[in-house]
Amino acid sequence: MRKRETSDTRLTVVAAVLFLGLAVVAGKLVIIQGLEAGRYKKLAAEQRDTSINVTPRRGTVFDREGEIMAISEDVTTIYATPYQVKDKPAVAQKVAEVLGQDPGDVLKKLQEPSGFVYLARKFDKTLAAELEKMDLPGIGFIQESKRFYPLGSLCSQALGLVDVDNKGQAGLELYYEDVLGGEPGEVLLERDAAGNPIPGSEKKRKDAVDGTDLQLTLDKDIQAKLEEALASGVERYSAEAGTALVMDCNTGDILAMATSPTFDPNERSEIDAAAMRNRAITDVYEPGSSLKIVTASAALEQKVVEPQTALNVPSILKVADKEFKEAEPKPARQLTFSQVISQSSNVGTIMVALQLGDERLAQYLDRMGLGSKTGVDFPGEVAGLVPPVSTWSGTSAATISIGQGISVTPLQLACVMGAIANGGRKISPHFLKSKITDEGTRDMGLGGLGDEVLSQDACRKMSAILEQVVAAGNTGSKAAVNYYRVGGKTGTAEKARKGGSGYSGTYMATFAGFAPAERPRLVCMVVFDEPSPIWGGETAAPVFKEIMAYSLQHLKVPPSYTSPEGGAGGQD
Amino acid sequence: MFVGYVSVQLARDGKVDYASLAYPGAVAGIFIVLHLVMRFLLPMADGLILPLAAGLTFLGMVMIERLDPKLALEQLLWIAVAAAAFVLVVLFLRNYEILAQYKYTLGIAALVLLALPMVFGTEVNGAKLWLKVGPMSFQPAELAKVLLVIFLAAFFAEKHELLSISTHRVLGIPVPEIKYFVPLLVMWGVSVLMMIFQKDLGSSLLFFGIFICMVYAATARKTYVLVGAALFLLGAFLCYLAFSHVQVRVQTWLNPFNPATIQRQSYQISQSLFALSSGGVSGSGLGLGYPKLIPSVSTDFIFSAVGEELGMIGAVAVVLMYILLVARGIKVALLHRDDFGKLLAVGLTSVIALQAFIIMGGVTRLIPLTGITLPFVSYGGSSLLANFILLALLLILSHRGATTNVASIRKGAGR
Repeated sequence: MRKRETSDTRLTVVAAVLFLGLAVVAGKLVIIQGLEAGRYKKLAAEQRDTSINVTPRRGTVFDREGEIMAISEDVTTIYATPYQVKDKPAVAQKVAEVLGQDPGDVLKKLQEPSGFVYLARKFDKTLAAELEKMDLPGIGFIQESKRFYPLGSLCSQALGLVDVDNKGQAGLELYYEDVLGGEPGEVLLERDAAGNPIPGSEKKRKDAVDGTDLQLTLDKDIQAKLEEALASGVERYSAEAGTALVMDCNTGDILAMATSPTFDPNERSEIDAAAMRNRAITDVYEPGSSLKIVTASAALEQKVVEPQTALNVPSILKVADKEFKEAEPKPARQLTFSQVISQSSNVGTIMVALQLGDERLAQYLDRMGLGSKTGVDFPGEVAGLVPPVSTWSGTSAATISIGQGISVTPLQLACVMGAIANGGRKISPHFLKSKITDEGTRDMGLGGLGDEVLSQDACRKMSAILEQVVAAGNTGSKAAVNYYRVGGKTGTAEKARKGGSGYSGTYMATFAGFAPAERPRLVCMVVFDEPSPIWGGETAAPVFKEIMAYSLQHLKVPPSYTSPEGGAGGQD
Repeated sequence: MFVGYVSVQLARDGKVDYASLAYPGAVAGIFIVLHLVMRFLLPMADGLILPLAAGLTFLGMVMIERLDPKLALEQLLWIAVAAAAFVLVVLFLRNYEILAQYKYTLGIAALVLLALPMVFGTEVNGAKLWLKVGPMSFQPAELAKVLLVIFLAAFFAEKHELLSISTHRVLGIPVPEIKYFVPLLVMWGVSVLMMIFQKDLGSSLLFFGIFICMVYAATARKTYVLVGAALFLLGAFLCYLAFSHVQVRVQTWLNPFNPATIQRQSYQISQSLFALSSGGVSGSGLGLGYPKLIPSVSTDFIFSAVGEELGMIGAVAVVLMYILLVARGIKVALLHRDDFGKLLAVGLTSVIALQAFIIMGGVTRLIPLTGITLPFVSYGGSSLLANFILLALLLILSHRGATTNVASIRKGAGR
């Protein structure tokens, strides 16, 4: 019996050792699967999968009337894992047939020593489905979406476009990327032992969150008219380019904005980078005479002059060693202040500006928002350049008062004009009207009228003067619109020499105006780059008229007169 | 198992195909037959051993079906073959004592089986372990391990008294005569040769482990254990210095996430760890993990797949099943009266325990990874066959141990 007991002890020792070994395995499991699981998971995520981002469905962009301006279509991206493709030439032939590619090119891709090659990105969904039906080993499919702009080149600079990954690249597509873009999902391609992705192993790890639809303040019809008028203007006046915009002066809604020439965002490969600039917001220029509206408004509000104040305007005015004269030589004459503006007298304006003084002129430039961004919801807005008053020389007030030595964006000038039209309230221009979610349409309440920048009294007087500008015989007469009372201001400014000082001998022609004068609704701004003739009143004004006339009718704004030329039966 | 099967199908196809429930049905049928055979022929055998093996086999079937349905049919056929072998063993070897008479024949047969692949073998995954006969490939080492256990049990049963007598003292420690170290040296030689020629580190470790367990159980000589362990470590170290594939194993064990090797040499072990960790406590659920990322997941790495899909709970449950199996195996040994039976039971139990430990320890990076099957669970015909024969022997021993005890108690009572 003794011997048996010792033997049993040994067996127990053996059993204990074996148990211990297995228990340690269990302990190790607890460590890997419980205590340190997080650490391993992180390592795994770094190494295990090839993940491909799935672009979510991008939000649709509508105009103010619900017309689709940009929409995402479902497309299929086709890829291959070359080493899994068995009969490469035969597969290349079949794939090339469906994709409309050269079989040789496809074969080359299939022979690459890589685990993943794109065969076609964002390919037509139904055609891709045909290929998918063939069930070729090594060929994989990912559902994606592609941006399409049904209106073609219409509104292209404002809308902008997206890159190949469906990310906003320019314009509103870029500015509202966070809203339109949604959140990308992730598809995992598992890897085999050799580390190559396995087609058909796609597993959704994260669902894509679709982007939100946006409704813009833009009006497709006004935009179309604006672009058409602008394009024919550019051609008619042999201009380098033309920029125009229409804005609601009471809300800051931008109804239309374009620069000619435009581009077609659906034909990415043919886009000229210069044509993508939305120059009304991103480019500055010297506004010339159109800036006189700021000088005049300041002078009227500060009671430096009244519209009827008579001024003895010499033919040449010497300010601190510099001589100023009219654009076309004029003899010394007597003009009312109203006439100074409506005939766009440089000398007369400078006389008033000098009375106003540097400080007050600078103060009004600032109040009107020049030299600072309007805050429009668009990427790449520039602030323009207004020299600080501390740096002004003896001639600065003179030059700036007539729009030289200062740079502004067309949108800034439109906002100044709009403020004068709406009774002196600052405008916050914007493109976004509302977000459309599953819960419904949410108005974003952008815009509205801001702080008072000009008194109502000054505005009324300015408005009357600006109506005179458009009256027969004055500088802006070609901007007059049938049935509507219009106010506005011309501008013709010599362009600064590129990369140097002085002027180049080429001109920017401007017309900025509003209508109807008795109850202003719209502001419109037209700028031509190097037109011929050079005059704003000859080039920008008629295009302004065309755009404004259409816009007023399209928006069913009640006419001011019952006869085309006004007078009889006018409302006030 | 039916539940496992259905959930695998649901995860894979989203529906249940009732016809395919034939597989689990067949496996269940086989085990019912085995159980009946056992009840009739070995009525006194341990009642827990067969159900434990059945549970592990079921789990293996479910996992293989989930990992590679094509292999599931093969596995089913092998289970049937192995079950037939089980029945044959139970029928013809109930008098297991006759095995002791053929111990040298069996021992030589084991060595021949081990040597066969070195001469005629086909190399798979860098190791020469397989014999190809037509479409079938067979791993003789699996069968050899059972034969070797029988041989060692018989050998030690006969010689253990000699082996435990010390005639010398070295440094005050009693040491048996040098000639009794010969078997030890032979085993050591076999193990090292296996490492060198077959590149099969797992089996080498297993064989040596079995030997150590049995020699200790037989002689209670710590000297053997210490000298044996020292020799094995020496051999392993020499192999590490001499062979690059051994170095790779150790390097990947020490540093599995090395970016230079994670896509190649250490891919398997790192994937195994990732799979286990992603399973967490409760697992991803059957059919919902990504265990196929691990190469040879249905054989050596099946435990990682279990850990990923059934979680820590499932994996630890598997470990517990082995612990229970070992406990019952040791109990068989304890209840047995004659030395051959005792040692045979210990040896057979050690085979299962060590094999489970080596592979589960390997995939959890407890010890360097060596390719070896998880008893009853892994896909593989030779392994199943060997393990079922082993099971049959263990149950015979259990039955005989219990009956002789009862007889002796009765005898004692009668006296």
